[in-house]
Amino acid sequence: MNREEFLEKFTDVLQTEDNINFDTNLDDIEEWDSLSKMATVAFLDKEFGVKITFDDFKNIKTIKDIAKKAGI
Amino acid sequence: MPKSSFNNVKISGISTVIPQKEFCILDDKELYGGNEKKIKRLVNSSGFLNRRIADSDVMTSDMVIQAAQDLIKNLDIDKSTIDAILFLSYTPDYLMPATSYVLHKRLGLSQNCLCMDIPQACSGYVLGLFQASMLINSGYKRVLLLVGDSFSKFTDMFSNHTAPVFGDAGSATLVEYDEKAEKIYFNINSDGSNFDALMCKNGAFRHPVNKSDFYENGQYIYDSGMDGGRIFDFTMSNITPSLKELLEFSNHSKDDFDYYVFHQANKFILQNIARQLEIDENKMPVETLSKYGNQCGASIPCTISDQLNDKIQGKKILMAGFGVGLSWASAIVNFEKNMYCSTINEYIKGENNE
Repeated sequence: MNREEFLEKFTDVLQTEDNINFDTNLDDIEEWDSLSKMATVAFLDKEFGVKITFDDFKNIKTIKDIAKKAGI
Repeated sequence: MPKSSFNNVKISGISTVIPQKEFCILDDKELYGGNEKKIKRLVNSSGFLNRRIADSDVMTSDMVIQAAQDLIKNLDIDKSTIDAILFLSYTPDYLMPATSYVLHKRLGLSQNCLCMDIPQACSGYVLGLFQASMLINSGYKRVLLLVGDSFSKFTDMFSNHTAPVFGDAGSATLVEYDEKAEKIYFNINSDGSNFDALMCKNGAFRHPVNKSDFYENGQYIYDSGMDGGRIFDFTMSNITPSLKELLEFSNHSKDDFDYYVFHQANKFILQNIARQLEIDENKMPVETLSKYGNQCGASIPCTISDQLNDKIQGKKILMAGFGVGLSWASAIVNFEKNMYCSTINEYIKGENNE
């Protein structure tokens, strides 16, 4: 998965209509709540076999941080 | 190694009861600050929609009694032959005595009968089958398993964001000794280090009720608190591995089952378990939550009653309950070809339930 595909898929995960990029602050996205966090955990597990927990979100600030977890 | 198996355990019947009164998350806009978009996302991804709530004077015991009476009538059971009643719930009638004694009186059972309450919620049905299986293997012939909860009593309906999650329900299952019964398997786990991830702190003795006020600083003191993130992490990391352990222990493959009946916590969680386990989602009912709410321990029997009542006979089921404790328990159960299974019944209020 390249960076563009990642952004496209992650936009679907968030179910947001906002335009996001790698520097977007997650807290600035209206839909960034426990529901989209659950979806993010499942997305990383399903697409990349990467397991994270809710605790990890304390250190995840931007979309770049999520991509880093995914190895993108 | 908390895995076990038992011979001679037959499940002869299941009956379930839900309250008549229905609530819908679409009417709970004020709980989410009027954010209709968020409610829509909750409905779509988690599956929360409708829930059934018992009146404040209707207890879990009232619902399980009706289910038990339906079972006794339809299976034509001589009540004097019931050797034990197990009541699994976190919403008892009293702090003392155990609600199973109240049920014993109201059902008119014999004195040659064991009464036992086991406080459990979402794993309650599997743990109840486990306890019943142990009794059957120690000489008991007929065990009445009563599992249910009224978690609506743990939430302030008008302020708590967990209010739309839970629905009330009661169930009754008859477990009997049968030499020819197929083996039943269990895998049971616990994690006390997260005991406070889903808890109601007040009302027992460490944090007793003061005076008669039910509100303290504007907060309903029986409110249950749920750390959704911790619960989600717990389900994502523990349920599938424990199911795999059970399959290995019992020499089953994931495809050996007619149905997968899991605790109806959240559609998203169930879909993730299905994905992790690589099972056919068409064999995994997920609709009970949207129709009736998260019914805690009663969600497994209610799912069977509601969606599989005429299909479950003679079928092999993989079941799993998980939640408060934290606790997770799974089982492999073969239902008898001629077992009785009610459709889901609505609770009919009696005159005096005390």
